Amino acid sequence: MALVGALTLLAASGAWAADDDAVAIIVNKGSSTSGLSEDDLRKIFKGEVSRTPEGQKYIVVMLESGAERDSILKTVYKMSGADYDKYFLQATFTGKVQSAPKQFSSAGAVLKFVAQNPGAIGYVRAGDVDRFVKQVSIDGQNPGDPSYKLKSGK
Amino acid sequence: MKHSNSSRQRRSYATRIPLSAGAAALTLATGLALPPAATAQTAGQSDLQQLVEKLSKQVQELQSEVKDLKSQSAATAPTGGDTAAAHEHFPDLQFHGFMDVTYTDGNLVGNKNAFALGEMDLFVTSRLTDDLSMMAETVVAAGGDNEFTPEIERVLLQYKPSDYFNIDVGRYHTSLGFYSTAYHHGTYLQTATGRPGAINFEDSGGIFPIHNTGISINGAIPSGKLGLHYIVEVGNGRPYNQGANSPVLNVSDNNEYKAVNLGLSARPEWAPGLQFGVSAYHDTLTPDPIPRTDQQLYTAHVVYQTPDFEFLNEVFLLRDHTRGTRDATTPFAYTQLSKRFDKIRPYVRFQYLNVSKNDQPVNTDLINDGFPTGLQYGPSFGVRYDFTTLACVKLQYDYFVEKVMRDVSQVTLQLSYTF
Repeated sequence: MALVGALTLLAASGAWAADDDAVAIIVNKGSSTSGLSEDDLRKIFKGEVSRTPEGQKYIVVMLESGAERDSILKTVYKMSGADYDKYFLQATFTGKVQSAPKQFSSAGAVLKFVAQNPGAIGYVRAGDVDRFVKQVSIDGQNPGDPSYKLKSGK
Repeated sequence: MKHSNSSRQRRSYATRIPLSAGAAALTLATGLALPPAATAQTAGQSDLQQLVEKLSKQVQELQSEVKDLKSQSAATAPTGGDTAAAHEHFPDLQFHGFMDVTYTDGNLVGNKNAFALGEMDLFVTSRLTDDLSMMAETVVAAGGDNEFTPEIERVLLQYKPSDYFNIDVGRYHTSLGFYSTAYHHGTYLQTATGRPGAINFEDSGGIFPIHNTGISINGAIPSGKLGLHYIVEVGNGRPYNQGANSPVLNVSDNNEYKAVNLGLSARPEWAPGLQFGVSAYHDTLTPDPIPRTDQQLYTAHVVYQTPDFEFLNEVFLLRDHTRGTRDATTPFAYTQLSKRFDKIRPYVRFQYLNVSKNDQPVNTDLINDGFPTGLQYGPSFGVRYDFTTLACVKLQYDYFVEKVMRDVSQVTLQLSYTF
């Protein structure tokens, strides 16, 4: 039973690590958005869709650096950091978007901005999501679900 | 010899073995049939399990406390440089610039080999409200006389209340096909050293109405995964044959007719990077002393463009009907292919232009400005090297067959950057 207990503890630790590895998409508490498809998420982050179905303007928020940003660049944008910069330079240049996504240096700042701005949509490590923002499911999956794709790979 | 008690016990045990063998066998069989945990369950192991559960609960409680502490910290003590960023602020001014320097060596008359400063493209955007923004593209460039002249190439007030209806007012690049809407002034964002010849700007030998002053309305059309977009533009048009005056009608129109442009394009979701579309443009020209000319310009494009690969294809058909003369039809087409290998991107372009000799406005404009007319075609080969994320160097060789003037053979080395 000592072995069983140790194995249980290890398994539980493993489950917490999986949640901690996940990158959660968050929106303002007042947002009507509760779930998005991966395609819709990509369109929003690329500025191809600028408003919710209710007409609220999206404000996309990015982290300046880190594993979570890398995960979003790879999985959502499917671009390198340099290509991301060039994409938004050109999109702004052509008028496709009004401006590039806002960038913050910390998860705390992202959480604060999303909590205080209707229409804001961003991401943080799943373990950092607090009660002031709403977590959004992607393709019906949430952080911790086996098929959830947004992981920072730590 | 005296026997020990153990011997007598063994003899007595040995006597009993045959009688309990079946009971022992039954006990052993029962033990093997039961799960190991059940058989190994003791009071000590149960205590250990309870301890594990208790520890697990404590860890979860601690995690929850940490989350709350973090959120309280974020709410009350903004982090470092993000102090002022809790809300959006207007106006939100952003500034970018583009510049290039070129060395060219070829057989162009009067320009054998030379260093040349390109256009310093100062690009400003500013969000005024959630729905309202402006952009301005001011270019400072040296002309053939080596003197610098500033010019506002684009300036727009943009109102974007939805994805389906956007309205831009001011001076814009006419939405003729793909290249004119994807690339503006500044060479950094373009793969090659410059634009395809016929869609160059009006003061650089281009024959189309690239710039316009007026209104542009555009947006998405609900079309599912097809990704349709429309554009409707009304503007002053291009004057043609204005001599020393500006080739763009910025503050007045030279006639009462307006240029109208309609475009439709698709960006299907099932092929990310693919875009195709058509456009139709109409204007009435009065390029005095040339008689009134009805101008139609049709374009079609199919492009596939990703960060690593591009295949651009466009066709233009310009039809000018000057009263009292035959219709003039001028076709132009180009194709461009490039692929990125890490920081290096080789590319090739082929372009074809055949300016109709009957097109009086276009021919007069080209001749006045010293540009070739008639049939012109040829390839360009080049390689681009992005040695940083904001700067690149391009080496390009052009060979153009020109039936009216001499063939052009030219090598261009360009340093292009953004800031």
